[in-house]
Amino acid sequence: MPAVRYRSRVRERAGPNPGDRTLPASHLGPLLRGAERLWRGLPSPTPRRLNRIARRLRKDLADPTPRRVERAARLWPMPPARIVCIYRFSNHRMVKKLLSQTGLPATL
Amino acid sequence: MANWTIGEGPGARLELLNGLTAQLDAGYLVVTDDDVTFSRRGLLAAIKVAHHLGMDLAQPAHGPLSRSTYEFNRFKPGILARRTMFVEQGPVLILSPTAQRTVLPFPVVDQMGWGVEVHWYAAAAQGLVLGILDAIRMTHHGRVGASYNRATADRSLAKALSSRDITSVFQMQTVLSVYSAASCSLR
Repeated sequence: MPAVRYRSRVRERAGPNPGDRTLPASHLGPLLRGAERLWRGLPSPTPRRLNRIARRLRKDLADPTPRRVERAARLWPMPPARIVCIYRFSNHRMVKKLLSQTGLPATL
Repeated sequence: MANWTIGEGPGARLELLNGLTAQLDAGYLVVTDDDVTFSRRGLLAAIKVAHHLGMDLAQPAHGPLSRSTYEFNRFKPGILARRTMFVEQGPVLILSPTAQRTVLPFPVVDQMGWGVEVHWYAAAAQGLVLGILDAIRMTHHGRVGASYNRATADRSLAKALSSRDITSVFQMQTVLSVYSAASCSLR
C-alpha cells in the first residue's frame, strides 16, 4: 500500500508532535503588523530587509533547539524567582499575559 | 495586576527599577520591559536554563521578528547559549542572587539605562558570568528609541565607553564560550 507507507513516513519526519511545527504565537503580532502596513500602502521594508527577515524566520522555524530545551527544562528544578517590571498602561495586556504564563510573583 | 503594582508615576527607568528592587529578597530577579512576549513556557525555561548553566546575568535572545538594537543579541540557531562579555540592559534581564549583590542598585547613567552595560562588562572581567540564551527567544514589539531621545541615549553610551577606555560597543560584544544543545544532554 504505497499511500499508507507515504503517510507513515510523513508522520515520522514531523516528529512525535507535529503541532510543534506551527508558527509560534509570538510571531503573529509582528507579521500581522507588517501585513497591515503593506495593505495600507505605508512605507514597507526594502526587499533586502524582507529577505533578511525571511531568512531569520526560516532559520528559527527549522531549529529544533528551543523545543528541545523547553521540553528538557520541564524536568529541571525551578529556582525561586520574581518578575520586576515598569509598565505603561497601554502595554498592560502584554505584562498580564507574561504574568499569567509564568505564575511567578511580581513587583510592578 | 493591581495586586502586584506597588507604585505609579513618572521617572527614569533605572531609578524606578532601583526603587522596585530595593527591598526584594527573591532568588532570581527577572527585570523585564512591558512590550515583550515569549512562547508559552519561554520565560520559565529561560530562568531554569540560566540557573542550570550557572549564569549570573542572562538574557534571552531576540527572535526573528524581534526589534533589537544589536544583532549580537539575536538568536544563533542550533546552540543553547553563549557566555559573553556583553548583555544588553533590556528588554529582559535575568539576575542571579550573585548578580544582584554585584550590580544592584543600577548606576543611573542615563534616563533609559544606556551605558550601564559598560559597568557589567567590567564586572564580567572580574568573574561575573554573563550570557545570552539562544534557545530561548523573545519578541520585543516596541520600536527601539520610540519613547525616549535616542541622541541623548547615544551620548550617555559614548560617555560611559570613554570612561573605561573602550573604543566602541562592539569591542564589548565578545563570545567567551558556546553551550551546545548536546552539552546539556537534550533529547
